[in-house]
Amino acid sequence: MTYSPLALLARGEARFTGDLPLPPGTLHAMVAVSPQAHARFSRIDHSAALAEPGVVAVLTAADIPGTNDIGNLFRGEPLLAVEEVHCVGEPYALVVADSADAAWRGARKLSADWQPLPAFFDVRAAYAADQLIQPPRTFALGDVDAAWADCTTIVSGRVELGSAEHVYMETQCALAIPRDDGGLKIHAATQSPSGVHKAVAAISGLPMHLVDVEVERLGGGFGGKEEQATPWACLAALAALRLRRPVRLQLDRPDDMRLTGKRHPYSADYRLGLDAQGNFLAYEAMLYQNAGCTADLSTAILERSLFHATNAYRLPNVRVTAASCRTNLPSNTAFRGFGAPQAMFVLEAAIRRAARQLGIAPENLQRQNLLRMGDAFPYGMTAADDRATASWDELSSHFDLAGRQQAVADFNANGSQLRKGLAVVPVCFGISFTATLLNQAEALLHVYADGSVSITTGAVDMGQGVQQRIRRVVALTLGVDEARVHVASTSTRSVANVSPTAASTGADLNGEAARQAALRVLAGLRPLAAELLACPPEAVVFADDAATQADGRRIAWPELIVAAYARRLPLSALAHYATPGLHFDPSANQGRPFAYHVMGAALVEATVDVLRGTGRIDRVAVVHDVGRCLDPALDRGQIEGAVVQGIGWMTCEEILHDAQGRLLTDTLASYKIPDLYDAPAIDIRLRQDAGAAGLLGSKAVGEPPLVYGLGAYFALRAAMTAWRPLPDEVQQTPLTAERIFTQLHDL
Amino acid sequence: MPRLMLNSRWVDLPVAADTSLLDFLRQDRGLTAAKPACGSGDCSACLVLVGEIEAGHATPHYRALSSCLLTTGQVADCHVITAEGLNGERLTPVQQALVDQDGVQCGYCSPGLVVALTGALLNGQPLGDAAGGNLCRCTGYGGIRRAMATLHNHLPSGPFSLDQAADLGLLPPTVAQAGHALRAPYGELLHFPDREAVIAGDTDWSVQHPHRVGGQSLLQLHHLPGLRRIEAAADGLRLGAAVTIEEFQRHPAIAANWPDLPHFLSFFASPAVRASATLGGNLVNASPVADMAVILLALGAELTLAGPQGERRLPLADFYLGFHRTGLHKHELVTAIHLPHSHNGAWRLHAEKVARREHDDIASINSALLLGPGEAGHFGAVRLSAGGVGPVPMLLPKTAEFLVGKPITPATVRAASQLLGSEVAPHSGPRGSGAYKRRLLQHLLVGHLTALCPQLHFADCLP
Ligand SMILES: Cc1cc2nc3c(=O)[nH]c(=O)nc-3n(C[C@H](O)[C@H](O)[C@H](O)COP(=O)(O)OP(=O)(O)OC[C@H]3O[C@@H](n4cnc5c(N)ncnc54)[C@H](O)[C@@H]3O)c2cc1C
Ligand code: FES
Ligand code: FES
Repeated sequence: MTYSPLALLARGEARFTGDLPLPPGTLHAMVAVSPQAHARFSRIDHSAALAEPGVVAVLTAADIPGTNDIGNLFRGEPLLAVEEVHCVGEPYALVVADSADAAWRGARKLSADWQPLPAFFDVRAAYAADQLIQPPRTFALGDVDAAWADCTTIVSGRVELGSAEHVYMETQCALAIPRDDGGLKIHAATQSPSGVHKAVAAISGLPMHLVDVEVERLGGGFGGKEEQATPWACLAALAALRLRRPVRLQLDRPDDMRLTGKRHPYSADYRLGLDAQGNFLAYEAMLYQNAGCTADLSTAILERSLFHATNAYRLPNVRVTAASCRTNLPSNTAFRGFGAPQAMFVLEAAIRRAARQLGIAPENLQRQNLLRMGDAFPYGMTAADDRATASWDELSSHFDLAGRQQAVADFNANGSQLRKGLAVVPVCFGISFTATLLNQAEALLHVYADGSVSITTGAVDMGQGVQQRIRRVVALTLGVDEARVHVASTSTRSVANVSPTAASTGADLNGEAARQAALRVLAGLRPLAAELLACPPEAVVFADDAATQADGRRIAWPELIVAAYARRLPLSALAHYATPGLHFDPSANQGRPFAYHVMGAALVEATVDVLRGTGRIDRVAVVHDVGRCLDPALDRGQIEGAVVQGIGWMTCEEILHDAQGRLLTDTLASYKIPDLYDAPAIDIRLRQDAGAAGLLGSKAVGEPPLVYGLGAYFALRAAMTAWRPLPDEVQQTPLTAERIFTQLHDL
Repeated sequence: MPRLMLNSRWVDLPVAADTSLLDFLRQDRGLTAAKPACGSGDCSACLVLVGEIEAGHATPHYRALSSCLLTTGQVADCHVITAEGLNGERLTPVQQALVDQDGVQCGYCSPGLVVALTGALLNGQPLGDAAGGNLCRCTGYGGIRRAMATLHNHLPSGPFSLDQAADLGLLPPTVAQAGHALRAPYGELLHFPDREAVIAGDTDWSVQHPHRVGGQSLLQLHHLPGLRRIEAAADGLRLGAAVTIEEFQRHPAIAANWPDLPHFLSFFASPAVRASATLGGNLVNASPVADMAVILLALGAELTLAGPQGERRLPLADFYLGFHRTGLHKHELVTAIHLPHSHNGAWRLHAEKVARREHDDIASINSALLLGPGEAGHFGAVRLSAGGVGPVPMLLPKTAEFLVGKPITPATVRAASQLLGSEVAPHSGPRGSGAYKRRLLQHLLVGHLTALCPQLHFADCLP
């Protein structure tokens, strides 16, 4: 009996990295980490750790055979700290033991002499002290300085956006197994198999061909396992190499929360100008990104903030500057949306402040200023069509926006202790890695003698269904039954130099490479099929598990494969795909960075309990653009998950540190993600349209809908202001129960 | 050798009775469906079904519990069914519904969810509440809700015996069969052996002892049927200290006396924690925001404490000495909690809890108010308690006494909440600033009084 991947998961039989049977003699590793936010250190004392029963070894930077650097975009990100640490939780030694518990206990017994140095946590203080990852960048369009003169309304304000923890349910995990030839086999829970591959080779001093990285599946990633799965795999590899034993490292939840980076908190100032008709004329913003202690992916995330600072709005004159600031927190990293939601929030806040000043509903201002076909983005592209207004109007008519607005007003007039509010949030999200070089993929396809098909790509499945999409694409392309196609786990032995599964591009890139590989095999089979069917090659159709020709004659797929093998035809193909037409010049900030844009809009309704200061999100309605929908269930699932993640970020999820930079919210008891009761009913309309540039005309769906979650904040604020007017110069997320209460009751 | 019925076979348990059940399953038995996603009872990814024969019953009762919060000693002689233990050749209806309705994305939460829903079907409990503690970071719960609706619509409603469940395909016949092999294992005896630690539901002790060395001897209160009974007494109810929150919540005498209390307790932790956590543990744990403690204080509960020197009785209000400190002597146990009854509803209780997340969260503050019968238009006797506003769960006698006999008017409420503001001095912490907690408590007083006296309107009563 075989089961589909989803069935395997439901049966609890699917193996995640931490579920793999351990080879005999496997050791367990855990890091000793800095208790200081910024300090120099000397004299690591191993003795107490080595005395802990079960502890086998303590390794430090001096034990790294290769280079002690796992930086990707920038060099200078050591695997184990040397002489200086830059955040609480930075690893400086590795304890290896015969059980995970012993390694954990041993790691806590390690000590060093710490000489504290001044530390920054506040992003604006870091900026003022010139603690920058790179010089600030500016995206501009039109002449913003001149445009202010034409504005009849100008609003300005400040935004403080909180961080968020990924809470992938599977914590970071890797297993490293030494090979007989001196190489290493790594099982890693990573979105970036090649990132791990390169880094393990670098720290081991091994050529990449002696390191294999395999990724079965992830228990969630959301960006948190793009860069930040790498250190754990490298540390397991280091111990395996040094001790010549298999080594597993899996973080427990509190350590995972303390040691890994999160969504970047942003601080921002904005200014928005409108003419007398309510048209947006000018927008200016300064974004301060709290990068944490290293670059990680911060500069790429910052760049996406700049790309998306105007979201789905027409803004003829814009200047947005963004600075990636170094602070003494664990390095923040990719998280679904990749900096775009932060920038979009700033503009949404500005729009609401303007609407309030003008005394009109924000929805009127928003609708009026949506992108129209031909409107320019600040980075050289223009809106290709009127999908922004079309999706808004579909939302408005199908979900009766006017009726909902009236219902909210009626409810609020009844004088209970509850108040309701609503908000609409549009999204315009560019699809492609903004680093053009990453927009490539590789796929290896084998057809075996029995007609079964195996496909390997760089796409890592973490619940987003990318493997199912690839399976469908291969089956559709070959014209075979889906059951014939097996998507193999990603292995750097089968596909090399793969891009991370990220930026919502996993299906677009890898699916297209898989399609190309399938086409290549078909090209070899076509003449044979034509010969067997006695027709011209062009007349052969591969469909319904057979090759057929116009008069209905057919040869079943397995027979065709047997025949092809006998003819010594190639039944395997390796294909490479690079998204065409992409280019971007970062010195001018101009080019064509995206293959296409995804658009949509959502209506979010919320209730606050004025007495207790609690809020809840009642309902979300979404109209979302999916191109040609390959799998409505997958698309819907991605939207639902992203919306709820966005709601969590805006409401109950709050990251708190103490004054020394130690994480206070380091368990799922203190850091609350939405549960079954919090998640609202979500009505979704998928807008289909032909001709999208994505896989078989479909569109990426992973990240854009997270932006709809921003509506939770603005709907709650609308409900609060229905109780009494509230100051709105500063908008701060998350809108926790405590913040709702203190704002409502003026504490 | 202690043993355990694991899915369909008896297996020996580790010698160290304080071994984590989750570790035992995953490491020693290679059963990896239960996932170590939080290790602290907060996500339900590690759920297993634990069956035991309870006093007075012939067949086992199964509860879905977090295996990260269980020691192997606790499940000795029990029947543990893991998520993989439910597997037959075909998908079970629960698995099938989750797959068909897109309730599975990354799948890391799925085995725990399957166990929670299967447990609820077995016990005939509402599915939605049963999965309330299962965190999923991928689906946004849409597919999970659709799956629950499918199950609700297509399966007969329980409770089911294991054999009936096997007929429905919820679990394999071999596992159902294994349930018949269980025996009621425990004696009535309560003695006071010299143990290194006492555990009851273990929802707190395990969290306090992560990555432990192991080998401590534990007294398992849960194994003493005498501590697990709810009995009527002349002056009210006698609750054994090892009665779980869920047993308390579902007991008919509780709803009969305090009709709103069962619903309020659905805000206590998650279903899996409620099914394990005990009243005694909640009191002895002495968390400043313990929900049960706050309710029992308002109800005027008393405790029976028993030790090698004998028994004594103590008002709960005198039990707390300071931050996480109680008047319990060494080797002494809480054996029972005594609750006065409501005099046929003449005494009414209202409870409030505000947390960062509505369900399954520790309160920022909580409070309960008991209102006795009074003259028309006037407050009767009042007992008011609160958690999160001081080092221990506490009574607030000044405010309570102020209210007694006063006319039921907004002015009285405003004055009382004024006084309440001066009666507490909460500290700032991760669950809120002191100023927030003080003002919120004042509002919760308004919440109590407007709920109990519908003639009051909240807006007139705000401080
Ligand atoms: C996920 C999660 C959510 C939670 N949510 C809540 C919540 O919403 N509200 C809330 O109030 N609490 C909550 N708690 C805290 C805690 O679990 C409960 O307070 C619970 O009632 C403790 O009971 P227990 O039987 O599990 O205690 P145990 O862990 O078994 O014991 C706790 C302590 O009390 C001692 N002890 C237990 N019983 C006795 C006795 N009869 N005599 C003497 N000593 C005894 C033990 O030695 C131990 O030191 C939560 C805990 C978790 C893990
Ligand atoms: S692992 Fe989360 S509840 Fe046990
Ligand atoms: S499916 Fe991934 S956590 Fe639920």
